[in-house]
Amino acid sequence: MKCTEIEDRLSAWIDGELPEAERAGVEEHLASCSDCARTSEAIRAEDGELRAALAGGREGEDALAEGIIRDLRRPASPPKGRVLWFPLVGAAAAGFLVAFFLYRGEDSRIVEMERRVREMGRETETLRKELTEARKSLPRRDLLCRLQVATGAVEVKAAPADPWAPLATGGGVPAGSWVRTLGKAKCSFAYEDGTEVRLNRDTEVRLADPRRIDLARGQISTRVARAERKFRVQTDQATIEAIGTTLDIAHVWRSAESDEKKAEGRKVTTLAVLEGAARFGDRPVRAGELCRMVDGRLETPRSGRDLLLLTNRWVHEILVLQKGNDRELEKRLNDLLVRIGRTKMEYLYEAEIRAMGDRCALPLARFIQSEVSKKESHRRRKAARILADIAGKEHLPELADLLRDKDPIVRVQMARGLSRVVGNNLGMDERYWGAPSCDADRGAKRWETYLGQADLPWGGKRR
Amino acid sequence: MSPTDADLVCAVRDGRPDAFGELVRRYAGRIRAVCWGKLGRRGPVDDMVQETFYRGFRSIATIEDPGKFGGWLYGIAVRACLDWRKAKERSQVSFGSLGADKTADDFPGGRPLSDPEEEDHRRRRVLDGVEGLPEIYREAVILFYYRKQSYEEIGGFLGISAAAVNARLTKARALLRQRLATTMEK
Repeated sequence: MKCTEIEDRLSAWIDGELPEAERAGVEEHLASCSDCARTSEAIRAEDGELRAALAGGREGEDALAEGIIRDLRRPASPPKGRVLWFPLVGAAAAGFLVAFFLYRGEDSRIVEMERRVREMGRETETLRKELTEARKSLPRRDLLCRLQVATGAVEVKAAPADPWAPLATGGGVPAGSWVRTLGKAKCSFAYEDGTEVRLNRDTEVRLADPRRIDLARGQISTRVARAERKFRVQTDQATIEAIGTTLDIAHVWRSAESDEKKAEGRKVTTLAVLEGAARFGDRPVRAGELCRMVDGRLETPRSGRDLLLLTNRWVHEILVLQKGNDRELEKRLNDLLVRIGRTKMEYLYEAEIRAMGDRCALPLARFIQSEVSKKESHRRRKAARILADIAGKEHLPELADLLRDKDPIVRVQMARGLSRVVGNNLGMDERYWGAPSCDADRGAKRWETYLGQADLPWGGKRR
Repeated sequence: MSPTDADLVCAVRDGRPDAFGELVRRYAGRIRAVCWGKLGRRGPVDDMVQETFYRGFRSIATIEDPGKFGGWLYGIAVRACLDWRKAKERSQVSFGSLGADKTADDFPGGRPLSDPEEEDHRRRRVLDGVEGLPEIYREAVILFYYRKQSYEEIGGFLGISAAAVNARLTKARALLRQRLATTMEK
């Protein structure tokens, strides 16, 4: 064997991974080549040091594993941001444990059997059959809404005294049920009439009927469908009524700032009206206004689009997950884009758009293409920069088309986005696209031809 | 005969969550090695191991091939570490001062795997050398030495061939020899 051949085999030989047939050849060479023998000794010495240094990192590994298992099993309040073992059984199994919440837990036999199943973490065939038979004997309640999207664990119960049970995505919720989000989970419920109710983390509500929610704690955002009867959100200190609006309502206990009053806490209900109008107790609150009630006292509404957008930004995570919600996502994106260039805090809005990921790519491209945006070069260029960073393979035709833009900065950003996704700038760098004399149409056609090749990873994308 | 990974994944899907505990025990070490490779020993390695398993459990219904649980979990670990790094970069934006639902606890952190100040000089030199390697080489070295896995096992976990593992380890060792020789000279 030659030295170059030995070099590729030494590691495997020292590690005992070299096939039997090749070992003799390596050993024979090492016996006669002092350079390779020295390299082999150096690798062995290094091997010893690496073993000594890295093996020690295994300390605590078993305890780590057992700790994770314990956390996943814990039935009480989960670790911050973590999910429960038992609700996930329902989500993971997507079968047996999901459906039983439809029935009131009035039959104590049903409740007891379900408790045994949860504790054991498994069901037997006999138990499954008994429960199925028992369910058949109970009347089925009408569904009020369905869980459309969830970013984590959501639970439901039919009555206050019932135990909580996991609710899987797509699951229906009868009127009068309680639902809650666990840890950092957020979710969205869709009603028959088009109303949407979204829950933020650590939120518990009772979905009383099609036009009423009792908010026990946490934060909700509602897009209320128009109807004759007003939509009402009830907390233990306030009543909020709305017709055809988009509201954000938070009901929390806040610790008082001074140590003396820590034990008291303050009850704060905050209403933000994003669209339409609402009544907070006796006070009307208009779109763009935010109003608080603190310990039963209503404060004067404040106005400020910035404040409302940031108060309600938790909904973005849900919007991104919801399919077929492009209109609302686009509107939200436009609201955020509008703030860029109008506020000192524009970096916050930019960060928010980026956090929504590549679902914003098409709306951003449409904004840049629009006539309106041509009067707002700062915002347009910002949108181009974000688009270049977040665009995916499916957006390449839009980027290629925008290479024809009259603004050299937009052209440069689009070229950057294309190069990032494709891994190639086709020989046309920033100087090409930024030059006033740039032949943008020629460059764009080259890109379109390149993207049109069907055998490439982006699959022959054409506009 | 002990159950395979596929058996355990199917058991979890069938409503026996205890089976996931066995998967945690089997893979905690490897995932720890991966997170160490991605974040360095000063990073929140054990927190990301926990996060990986929580995400894995939450999405176990989506795994296409239960027999490739290890590789699937590896992908989750890589994304979890990437998310942590992105969140760390975004933590400079002071949303917490404006929003009701943000607290300092929302920004991930955690105990380091090892405190370099407590390491002896020799170990620190070697570990710094390993952590200075390009990511694919660092990952191969840590999995090989930390877990004492074979080339085939490492390859199966990372989704590459045993020959590719050999190539990465060979390159990693060559780079390390250069680096460690340089630090010795200093």
